[in-house]
Amino acid sequence: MIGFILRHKTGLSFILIVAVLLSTIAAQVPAPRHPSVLAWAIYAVFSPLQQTVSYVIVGTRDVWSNYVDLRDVRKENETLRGEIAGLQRENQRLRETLAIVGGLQELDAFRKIFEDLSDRGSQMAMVIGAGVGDSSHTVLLNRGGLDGVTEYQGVICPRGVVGKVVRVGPTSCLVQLVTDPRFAMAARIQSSRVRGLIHGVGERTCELKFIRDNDQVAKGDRIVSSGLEDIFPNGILIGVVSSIQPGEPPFREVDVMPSVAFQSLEWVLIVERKPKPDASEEQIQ
Amino acid sequence: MRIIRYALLLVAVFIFSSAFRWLFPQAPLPFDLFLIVVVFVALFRSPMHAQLFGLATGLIQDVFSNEIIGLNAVSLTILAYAIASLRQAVMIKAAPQRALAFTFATIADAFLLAGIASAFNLPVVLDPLSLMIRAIANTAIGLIAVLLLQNRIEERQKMERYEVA
Repeated sequence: MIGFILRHKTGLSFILIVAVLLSTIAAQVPAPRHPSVLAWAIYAVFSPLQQTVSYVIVGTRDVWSNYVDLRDVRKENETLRGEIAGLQRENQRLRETLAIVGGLQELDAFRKIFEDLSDRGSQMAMVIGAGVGDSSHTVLLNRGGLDGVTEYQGVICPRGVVGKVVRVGPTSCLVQLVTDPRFAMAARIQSSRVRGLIHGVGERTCELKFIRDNDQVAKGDRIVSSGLEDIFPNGILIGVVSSIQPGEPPFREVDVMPSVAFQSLEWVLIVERKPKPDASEEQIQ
Repeated sequence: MRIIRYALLLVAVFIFSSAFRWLFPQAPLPFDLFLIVVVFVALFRSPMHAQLFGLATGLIQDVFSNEIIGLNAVSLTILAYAIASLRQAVMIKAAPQRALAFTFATIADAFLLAGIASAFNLPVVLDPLSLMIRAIANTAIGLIAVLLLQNRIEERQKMERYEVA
């Protein structure tokens, strides 16, 4: 028996690996995904790497804009070179600081208003990287399980809905953006209060599904979260209607341009999920 | 030592892919670097090493691409095992044969992913044009990597065999 196992160890381990992986897939498919130990461990190893990559990219950009780009100016005017470069570096640094502080102040102000109105807690997080898949639209945040982040928490910014947390590591989490083809959330047209389902379609847009031919909708209408699910509170802006086309009767195809510019996203809020009603209250009701 | 080399290779691929997505969030990568390195390892190493490397690469890809965990891992494990086993049975040494391995792997990977996805009632994405572009790009990059590194790897393998003997 042991001889057989040793003789065929490669083939047997192949079968074992494939079987375990297929079971892992099967376990994830019908039910909502639970945080797996494997994903947790991989995050723990690789998210610091990803953070380093983003620091290196930002650092390289700074070096490029603060040094390499200024070399020609230095050649043209030797005497003013140091002064101009110094001032520009200082200016650039101050602008960057101002932009960061401005962004943070805006987010902090937004956070206070949001928490007052929605009666939910939230925590600020920084975007530290992007996912690696071509078909998925995801970003990585610097808050994870150790900060109390859990799967299926909503992520927003002052401009509107960003997405939702789909994977959580110890110090980082992966956020599925509203443009991701697997993203879906309950939404409504702000003016007519008609309800639908926002669905990512890849590229830079999403689609508002289940809007009937006789429903009131027009180009430029604002689409907001409906609050029917416990991930996002009611009334958070998702985007505006960019085009309406006839679809499969009785529905229409409504394209929505997200209000958030994902490419320039730096700081976001991770929103607490709505607390479930107390069991004793439920029983009383 | 070999494990460290594999780990470094995997880290390099991960960093490149993540940096690319960070810099160009909307641009689709025309080649699949994860697949290329797995095929590359399968062309030079034993089925056991190849399948373990395929498993690790696939898991990294799954976790950081919001895929169902295990989807790419199954596909890359099967491909790595198949190519490494085929290499032991048939001589795959000439450049056109190795190029064919990259093309075959790209197409097989797409069909495997589509097959597994449909088996589990997941959405299937199979675009023939992008698959063709990806197969050509993967083959070109893989072949360049093989031509640049094959002499060095084969020399090292000879040395290893000599040391064992």
